[in-house]
Amino acid sequence: MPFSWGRGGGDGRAETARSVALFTVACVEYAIDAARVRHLVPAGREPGRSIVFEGATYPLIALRAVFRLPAGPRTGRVLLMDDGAGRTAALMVDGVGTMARLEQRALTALPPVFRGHERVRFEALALLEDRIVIVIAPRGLLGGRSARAHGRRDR
Amino acid sequence: MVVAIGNRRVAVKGDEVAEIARIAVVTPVPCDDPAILGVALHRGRIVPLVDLRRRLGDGATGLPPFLCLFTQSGGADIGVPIDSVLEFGPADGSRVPEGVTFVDFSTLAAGDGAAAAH
Repeated sequence: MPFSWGRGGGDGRAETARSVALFTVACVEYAIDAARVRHLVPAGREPGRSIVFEGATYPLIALRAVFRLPAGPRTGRVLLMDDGAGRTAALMVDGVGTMARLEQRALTALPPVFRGHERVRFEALALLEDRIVIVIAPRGLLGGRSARAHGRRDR
Repeated sequence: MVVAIGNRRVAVKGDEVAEIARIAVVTPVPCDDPAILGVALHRGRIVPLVDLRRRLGDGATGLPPFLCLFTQSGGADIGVPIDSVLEFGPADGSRVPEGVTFVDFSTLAAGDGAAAAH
């Protein structure tokens, strides 16, 4: 699922960067298109099976479970997102960082050695300063089998 | 070139070897293949690292830092953790010394790990 850079400002120039929100899971940094983030639930709030925000229900998805990582401490940090195609989710993450601008030239397509579900869940790898960041593919993440398995509705 | 990976001697085509460098930081990428350690930054590029030890059923490579053999073949770079370089010399799929496992890095980089070693 390649990046869609669209056009910038209606003046016909192609965009060369976009805003992303950064978060961490198991000490690895991820980026998600800022346009897909609806809300950040404050730290310390213990989530239930889903979160209702502005009339919409966001099923919880524990990314550690989706990524088959060991369970970590419950930090209560939850990022509410949509995939731009009608699906929503509340991503349980370890930490939410800052916003950033990802330049197109900083992106690397997922190398061909990656052949599994990761090709659907991740759009690309990015170099941000001297760090490698994994760029989430919202539609792939929420459309995948694992996401459905871990996203539970309470009503 | 023949390198040591655990107790195994592994031959690779010399012209596929780009560099051997020490890697201190690996960024894990959640994926289905347990032999993929993640990615590392090498000369400004993001390169996937494949654990050949695990691929060959010889256990698993430990945590970085470790020595890493970087290749460029078929347009896809990969890195493979190694223990040491044993010898330089002609090594290809048709003349592999006895007791040495030949690894085709171009196949490995394409993700076909099962066919890469023989």
